[in-house]
Amino acid sequence: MSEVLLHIHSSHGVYRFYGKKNETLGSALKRAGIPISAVTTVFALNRRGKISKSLFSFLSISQNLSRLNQKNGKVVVQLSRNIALPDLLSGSPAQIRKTENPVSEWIFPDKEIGGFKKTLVQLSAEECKKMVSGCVNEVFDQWPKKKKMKLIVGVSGGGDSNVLLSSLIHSKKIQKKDIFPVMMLGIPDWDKQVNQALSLCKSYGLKLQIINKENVERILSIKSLDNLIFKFKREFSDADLEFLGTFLLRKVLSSIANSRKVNFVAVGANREDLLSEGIARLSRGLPPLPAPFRQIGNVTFVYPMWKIPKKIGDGAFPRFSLVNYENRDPSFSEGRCIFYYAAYAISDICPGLDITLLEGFSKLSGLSKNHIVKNPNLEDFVCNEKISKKRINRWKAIFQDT
Amino acid sequence: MQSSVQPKVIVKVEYDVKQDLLGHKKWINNDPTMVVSEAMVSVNIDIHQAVKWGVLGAEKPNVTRSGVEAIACPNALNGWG
Repeated sequence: MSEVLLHIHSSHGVYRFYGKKNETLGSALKRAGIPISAVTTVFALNRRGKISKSLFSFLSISQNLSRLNQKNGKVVVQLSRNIALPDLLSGSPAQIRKTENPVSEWIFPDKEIGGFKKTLVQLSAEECKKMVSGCVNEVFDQWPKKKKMKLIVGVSGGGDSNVLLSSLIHSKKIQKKDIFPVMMLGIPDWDKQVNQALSLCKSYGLKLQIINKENVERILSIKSLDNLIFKFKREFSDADLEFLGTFLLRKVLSSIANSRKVNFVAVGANREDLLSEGIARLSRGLPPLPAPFRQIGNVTFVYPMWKIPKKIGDGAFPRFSLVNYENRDPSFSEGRCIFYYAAYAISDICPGLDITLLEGFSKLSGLSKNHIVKNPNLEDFVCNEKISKKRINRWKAIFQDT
Repeated sequence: MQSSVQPKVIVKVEYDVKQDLLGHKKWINNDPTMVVSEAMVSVNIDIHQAVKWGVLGAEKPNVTRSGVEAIACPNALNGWG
């Protein structure tokens, strides 16, 4: 026999699920979508031809199902709460919507009953673009009143900036002359895509402003960006270069915005970026940072694609995205991995809950002010939380004689 | 595909599929033999000696151990997407 029958006992009845002989019980539960924390798993022994739940032995999720002799009893998975989990998990997704030339797909919840009825929707590139455009236009509709609609746009040359620029160009809410794409050089991992960024902007009739290494050094008032990178890696070995890159990008884009007298800077941060950030903030007992508009000093960062899952954004230009990922260096920051993984997993286990949380985070951030404040010691803007002197000094040290 | 390398993470990786899709061999440590299986390593932990039940650890609340992101990245806390 190549399959092992799992009897899933719940308040709603007994359900059957087939585990494979060569997998563990934990693996089978995972396939069924059943959280291991929500069940007690036992092997109910067969006595005199009857199977009783009172005669059982504990069954670990590490148990290889091939080692179980089903003649001796059966695997019982007892759900330990009377929630409607069987309904939530059954038939996931219940229906599929196909399309011609699919490039991506997403599982959507039902409008009325949410994750209890899921639809796998295949998406063409055009449909992905339309979804992004819809989100971008929605953000433009929320634009702060009496503020000029002019944008510095951070461009990396990868899939995110491509889809962002495309949607901005095709939006009727902003004029092309008010879009200023800027690319910062100096982080080797990112520099590989400069030609792609140039051709991208050219195709949209936009002039890309490239901030080379020397200009980055001038903006930061440092002598050597290479030296700064070296010191950052040495001092913050637990943080990937991406964190320094994010810092540099903010400084450079803010500087360009100020010199051009533009108040807004757009970057291609997407649903999982903001969701993982929000989860990380909550885990430290802090309110999520504002989105889709976030003021940092006299510049407001805008996240026009904040509600778009990366998978759908990538679908707009699938080839660009593949190249982008091939060019990326591996990240080893554990926290970055954990919080992103959590963000991805939420939509997997309960489609729609990710966007609900994201919108909740945005509302929550609106309940408080001063999320980002100027630190007098650093003379720069930081997250408003307790930051030890030691940590500040470590940060300052990487700029000294640099 | 099985490996004699003791796995670190309990995740099943379909290496060949990944390779075919992207056409390159970059995977875990660039080692195509590093296929992670479900094998586990036995460890001895005396739970009664624990000061509290959280002894086996909770997830760190910071994105990085140093917490540098609070200083460096108010514009994108998780590093550049």
